[in-house]
Amino acid sequence: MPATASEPRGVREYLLAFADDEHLMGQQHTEWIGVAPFLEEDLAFSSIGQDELGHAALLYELILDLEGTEPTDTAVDSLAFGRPSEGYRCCHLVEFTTRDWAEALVRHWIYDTFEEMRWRLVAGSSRPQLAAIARKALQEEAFHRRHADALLDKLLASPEARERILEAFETVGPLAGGLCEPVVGEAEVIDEGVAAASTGSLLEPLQQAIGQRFGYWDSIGSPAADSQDGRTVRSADFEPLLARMREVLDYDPEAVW
Amino acid sequence: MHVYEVFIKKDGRDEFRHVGALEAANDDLALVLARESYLRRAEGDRMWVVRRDHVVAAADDFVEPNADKPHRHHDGAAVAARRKAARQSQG
Amino acid sequence: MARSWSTMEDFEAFLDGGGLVEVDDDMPQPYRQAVFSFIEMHANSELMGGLTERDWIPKTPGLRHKMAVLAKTQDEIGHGHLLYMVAADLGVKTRAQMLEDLFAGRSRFHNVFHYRAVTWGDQVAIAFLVDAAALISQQAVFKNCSYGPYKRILLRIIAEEGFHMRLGEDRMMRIAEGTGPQRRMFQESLDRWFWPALQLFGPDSKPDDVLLRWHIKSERNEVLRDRWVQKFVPMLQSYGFTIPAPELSYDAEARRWDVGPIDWEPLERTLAQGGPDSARRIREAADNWSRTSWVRAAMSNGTAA
Repeated sequence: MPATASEPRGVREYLLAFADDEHLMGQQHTEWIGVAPFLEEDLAFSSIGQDELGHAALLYELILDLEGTEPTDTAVDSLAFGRPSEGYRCCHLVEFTTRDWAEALVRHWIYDTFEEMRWRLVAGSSRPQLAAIARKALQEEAFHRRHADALLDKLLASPEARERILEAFETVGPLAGGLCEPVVGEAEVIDEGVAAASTGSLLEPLQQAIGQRFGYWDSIGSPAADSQDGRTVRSADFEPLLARMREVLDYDPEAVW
Repeated sequence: MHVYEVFIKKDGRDEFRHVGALEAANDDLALVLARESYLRRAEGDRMWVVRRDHVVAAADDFVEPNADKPHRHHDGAAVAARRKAARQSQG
Repeated sequence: MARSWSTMEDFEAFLDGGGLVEVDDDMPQPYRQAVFSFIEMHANSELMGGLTERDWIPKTPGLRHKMAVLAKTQDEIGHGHLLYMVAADLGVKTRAQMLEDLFAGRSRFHNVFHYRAVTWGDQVAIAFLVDAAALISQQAVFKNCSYGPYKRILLRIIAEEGFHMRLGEDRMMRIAEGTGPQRRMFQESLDRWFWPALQLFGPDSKPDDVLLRWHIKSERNEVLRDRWVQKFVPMLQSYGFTIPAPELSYDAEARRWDVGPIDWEPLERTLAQGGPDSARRIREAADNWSRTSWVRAAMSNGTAA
C-alpha cells in the first residue's frame, strides 16, 4: 500500500485511538519506576512500559506515513504530544490516575488482555505495515500477559492480597468497557480491511476473560456507560497528565531535546 | 520467596553459564522476572532458572584430589624434547 | 567452606598475589564486613540514583527519548538488584534488611543522590557527569577487585554504563547545539552539579585505607577524581559551557587542568545530617515500601524464606 493522503478519516481515527491508548498506557507505567513492591518487578514493569511506548511510536509513524509525512522523531513527537486535548482518542482507562500498585496491576492485566485481542484483529491487515507492527507487538504481548497472570495467580491465592486486588478491580474494572468503544467512522476500517472486526466485537470476549480472572464481571461498564462519546471526551485526569507530559516540551517550543 | 540461580546461553557460542540470581515466589514468576533481570538486551538465546536449594553442590575436598593427577596431563614439554632429539639424530 | 586462611598475613598474601575470594570461602570477618559495606553502599547508590531520576522520567520530552531514559533507569535499578543479591550472599544482612535500613535512613549512599534534580537540565547533568564519575570508580574497582562475585557483576554493570555514557553525551550535545534557553538551563544545572559530581569520589584516600589494602578498590580517590576532571573539564568547555570553578587553571606544559581547592563542607554536612533532598526521597521510598508490604507478604506465602 503506497503512502497516500487519501486514507479514509475513519482509518486515521482508528489508528490514532490505538496509538493514544498505547502511549498513555506506557506513560502511566513510567510512574511506577523505582517504587514497585520488589526490585525484580520494577524491572519487568519498566520493560512493559517501554514496549507500550514503542508500540505507540510505531503507530504514530504509520499514521504519518499514511498521510505522506516523513515520520521523523520530531514529527512523531509533535503528533504524540502536540495536539489539543480534544484531539486525543484514548479511552478513560489509560487516562485514569491509579492510587496504588494494586490498581496499576489490575489495569495492566485488563489493558494487555484487551490489547492482545486488538492486535489480533489487525494481524492480517490490508495495510502491511500495520500487520508487521502487530506481529512484533503480539510477541511482546505474550510476555505482558504472562507477567500479569503470574502475579495475579500468586496474589489472588492469598486472602489479604486477594481482597486488595478485588478492591482495586472495583475501581478500575468499570473503565474496562471503554477500551472497546469504537471511534467515529470505524465502519471504514472494516470496509477497507484494516481490521478484521470492529473494536466493539471485543467487549464480550473481554468481559468473559475478566469474569474468569476476577470471578465476576457485573461491574464492567458497557461502552455507552462511560460517556466517552466515540472517544472524543476526555476524563478529568487527562489535562494534568498531558501537562506533565508536556512540561519540558513547553519550556522552549523551539528546542530539540 | 526462593532464591533462583539464572543461567543463560548464546546459541552457537557458549555453554550455559551462570549470570546471577533473583528472588521469586515460584518457578513461573522466576522465569518472567529473570528475563527482564538478565536478558534485557538478549544476552542469551536460552535461559534456565534453578532454585538455589535444588542445586547439588560438591564439597571442595571432594573435588580437590583430582587436582593431583599428573598422569592425566600429557606433558607437552617432554614430547617437544623428544621430537627435537629425534630431528637432531636424523639430521 | 572452600578455603580458609590461618592468619590475616596469609590472607593478605593471597590477595596481593591476585587471589579472588569466593562467597563460600572462610574469609576473615573484617574483610567480609568491609566488602559487604562497600557493595551495600554501591547498591544503595544505584537505587537512590534511580529514584533521583524518577522525578523526571514521566516528563521526558519525546517518545523514543522517554523509552531510552526508561531503559537507562531500569538498568540502574537492575544494578541495585544485582548488587543487593551479591551483598546478601555475604550473610551480613538480608536483602530486605538492607532495603529497610536504607528506607529508615540508617544506610549510606553517595552524596550526590542527596540532592534534588530541580530541572530537566539537572536530569541530563546527572546522567552525564555523575554517571561518568560512577563509571570511572567502577572501572577502577573492577580492574583489581579481590571479591569474585562483585568483580563478575561489575563486568555487566560497566557494559551497561557504557550505553548510558553515550546516551548522556548525545543528550548533552543536543542541548549544547540547541537554543538559548536550553543552554542556559544546562549551564545552571552544571553550576549545581559540577561539585557534587566531583565529590562522588570522596576526599583523598587515607594511607591506611583497608579498601585499597584488600584490593576492594584499586586506585586512590584523588587519582580517580583527577581522571574525571581531565576528561570532563575540557569536554564541557568545548561545548561552550563554563566550569563553575573560580580558580580553574590549565598547566600548558603538563597539559593538566586544576579545579583549585575543593570545599568539602557540603559533603561533610551531607554525611552528618543528610543532604537537601535526602529526607523527602527516603520518606517517599519508605512510604512506597510500606504501602506494598502486602505484595511481598503474599509472595512469601507458602514459600518460607
